[in-house]
Amino acid sequence: MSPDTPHLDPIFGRLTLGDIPYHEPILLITFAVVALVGLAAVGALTYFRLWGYLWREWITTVDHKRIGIMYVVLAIIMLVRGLADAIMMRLQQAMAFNGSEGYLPPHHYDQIFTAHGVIMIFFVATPLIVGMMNFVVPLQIGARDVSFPYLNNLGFWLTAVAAILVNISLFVGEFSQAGWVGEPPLTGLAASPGVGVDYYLWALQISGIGTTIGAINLVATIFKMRAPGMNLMKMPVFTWTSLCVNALIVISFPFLTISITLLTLDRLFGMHFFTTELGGNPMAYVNLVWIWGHPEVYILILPAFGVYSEVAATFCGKRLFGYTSMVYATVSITVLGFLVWLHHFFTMGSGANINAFFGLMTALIAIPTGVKVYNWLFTMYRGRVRFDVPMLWTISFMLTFLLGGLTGVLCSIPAADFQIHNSLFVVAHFHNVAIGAIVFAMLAAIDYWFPKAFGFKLEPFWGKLSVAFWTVGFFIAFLPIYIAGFMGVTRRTQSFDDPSLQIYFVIAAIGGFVILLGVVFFLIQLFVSIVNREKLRDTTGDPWGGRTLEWATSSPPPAYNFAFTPLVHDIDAWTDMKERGYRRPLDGFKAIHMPSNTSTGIFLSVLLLAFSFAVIWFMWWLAALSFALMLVIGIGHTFNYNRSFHIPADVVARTEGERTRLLAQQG
Amino acid sequence: MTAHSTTAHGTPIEHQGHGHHWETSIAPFAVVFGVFFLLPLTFSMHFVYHNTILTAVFAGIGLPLILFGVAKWIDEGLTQKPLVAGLAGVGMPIFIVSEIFIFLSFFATYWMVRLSTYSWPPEHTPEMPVLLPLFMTFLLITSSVTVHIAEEKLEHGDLAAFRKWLVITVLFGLAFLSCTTFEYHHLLEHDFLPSTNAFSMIFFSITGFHASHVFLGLSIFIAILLPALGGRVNKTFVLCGSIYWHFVDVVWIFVVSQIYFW
Repeated sequence: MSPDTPHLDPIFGRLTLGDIPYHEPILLITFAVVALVGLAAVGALTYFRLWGYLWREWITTVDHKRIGIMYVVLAIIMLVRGLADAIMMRLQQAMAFNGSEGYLPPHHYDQIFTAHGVIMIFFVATPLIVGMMNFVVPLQIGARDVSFPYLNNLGFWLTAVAAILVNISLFVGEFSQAGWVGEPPLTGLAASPGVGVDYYLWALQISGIGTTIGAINLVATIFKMRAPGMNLMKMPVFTWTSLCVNALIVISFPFLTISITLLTLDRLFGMHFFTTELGGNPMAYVNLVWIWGHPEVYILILPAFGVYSEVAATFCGKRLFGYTSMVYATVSITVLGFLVWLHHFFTMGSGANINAFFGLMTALIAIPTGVKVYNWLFTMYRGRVRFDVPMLWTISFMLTFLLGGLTGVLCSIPAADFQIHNSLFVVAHFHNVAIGAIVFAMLAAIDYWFPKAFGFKLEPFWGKLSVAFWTVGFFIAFLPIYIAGFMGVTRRTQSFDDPSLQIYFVIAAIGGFVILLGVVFFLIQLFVSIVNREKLRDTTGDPWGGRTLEWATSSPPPAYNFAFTPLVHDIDAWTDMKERGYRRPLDGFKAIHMPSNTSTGIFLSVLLLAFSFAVIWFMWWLAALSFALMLVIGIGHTFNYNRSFHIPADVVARTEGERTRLLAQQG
Repeated sequence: MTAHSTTAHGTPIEHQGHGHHWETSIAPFAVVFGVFFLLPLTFSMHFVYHNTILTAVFAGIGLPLILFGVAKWIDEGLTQKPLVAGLAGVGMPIFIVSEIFIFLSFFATYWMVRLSTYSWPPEHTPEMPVLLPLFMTFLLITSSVTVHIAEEKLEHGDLAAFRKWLVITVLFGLAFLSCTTFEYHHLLEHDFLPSTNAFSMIFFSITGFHASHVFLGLSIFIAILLPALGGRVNKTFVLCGSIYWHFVDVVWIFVVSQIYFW
């Protein structure tokens, strides 16, 4: 609370009618569309009487599979928002030439590129990988759930309310205009007095807490709950990458937490950590945030590598080439990921020696990454490759990622970086890696594990179209950006003076629309598959000829995942079981001890949303009220001593009997 | 690593039913009342009304209440039979790893701020105490030894001695917090506020953050102590508590050497 704030309204704080952007037609139309879709959804839920189902089976669930699915749904919804931002930027940059200001004023354009970055990293890529890990890891290690199921639910809802907070900023007030890492002094109180940066800080803080909680949970799960016989060097590669990623989260997210906490202290209490007055140092923030930010890059990309490893092994019908080297490569990327952060600001002026060290470390990461690419290639070599959609994504990834990786090595050379720093070249590079590796991997993962999650495959035709349009669209959109950036065009530019550059941005905009078609085809694929689900039904639980334990159970898996815990003898545990003629046990079922659902997670998260909204707008009564209510809800949770239950043996027997019947039908 | 029995969770299923030793809890109410007494009343008495006696009264009611409430609450949460045994012993170290990096980022900020300033300490910094931090270090290191002795006594099944040494540990921790309070009071009186200069913001954020950890550690010990009086001890919980306490202790060595003696 800065003391010089002029006349705060006792109820609305610093929120006034002028903060609602009803005079901006773009936002008004967006709001109308969101409101209509929202009303339609609420109406449909009420009409089909689904509220109770939604509450009991999804919102309060502690089942890792459902939480994983909710993460992915959240990510897809936010992907649409982030993509809309991207298309708007592409249009603006293609139009704003020859004295034209385009259709987005700087104030609006700056919010859009900030929101695009924040949403794509925190609310698309992160929920996608966390959702995949949540869904797949316990199944792959033969566990019944994660180690702390309630924390899992809480972690998801924290992420979700943080995403909601970002979207509230669209219609109430404004979002940050300072870029997705929010570097001071631009985010300081002097340069950004509005609420935009506060929205940004609180959204990141909440989602950061959620991610950290989830990571501690998954590390404990992977360490403690693996099936008997699965030692560390028998874990599936996706589980290995998940372990490394969650370790990275546990270590690196504190740096984000502290950097944005200190910035919040600066803005709320007039401290001077990152101002240039009174001994503050903005570069301290930049260092801190990138000590988190670079590991975050690997947090996002390692699970992608894990997905490609699983897909390559499955669809080439042979064991992954170089399992051990794959594990060592993953671990060395994990370690090296902490020694490269300074390459984001070689131009800071830390001197030739320091720049050389960080440049070398960055270039070194190309070695384990190269090992991985060769491993996938050799897995394909002499394999019986089936060109299903996940495999097509993998092949498309290997081509696209080669370009992204090589430009990354180029950027790692400090001398070259002085030319391309803060240029569109860097933008093209990280989109190349983010789209070519992370997005493709997650779309492959959705295709690959969808039958496991829902019991029917996705329609391949639209999936293949989606692969084609994403891949081609990516190259059309970002090759011109590479070229423009190499010629020195800076990033985050709202309008241009040099008319000779326009052609690059027009081509890039066309590429943006091709990518948009890729997303549309993906959504059509989901829709068509849901309509034709009976035809695409998978009754075996193993539609792809999978190699790891998640394919050993039914699709979708029962709440308890495995009626009996599998015994593991090999890296490809399920393949090994199939080869040795494994037979499902048909009797002797026992009651299974499971965690109970809880509504504490969503209540606490919604209250935290209210609390942060209140602090952003200085509505101190609401802050106090929501804080007190959080304590009350906490009290409610302590009175809840009924936190687990047993699935009775006859229910287990009935569920397993149903599966036996389906398998027999299959023949 | 997991050479357990047949269920997925590594432990045989226990049919513990609903016969838990606690079903209702006074702890959250204690916390709420403590927070409502301590925060608004104590602070307004001190900063607005400058009334020392009422400040002392409200702080005297509020602080023990919060300590008691948090301790009891944590105890209830952690002594409950978990669904999966032995997880706390893994979750705690992972949490501490995260904590280490929280402190590291605080120190990194401090180093950057300090190394890019021409003169240190900056203007308006009063004379910092020298003997007090040494005494506080002594208190904390001794408490680490005493908690270790308590753990050894527990290993040998000597519950009475365990309780005794734990009480001594808690007393040392309380003495440490009293020193912090005394010091803060002294510095605030000399107009050394969090927004005064670069050193004040570093000083209050790092020592304050550390003190909150001491507070949490003490709450855990009291949570162990209360059921121990009735002869009931959860060894995993004792292990977690003492790991945490040693961690807080080690961090203090860094705090004291970096903040006071550099």
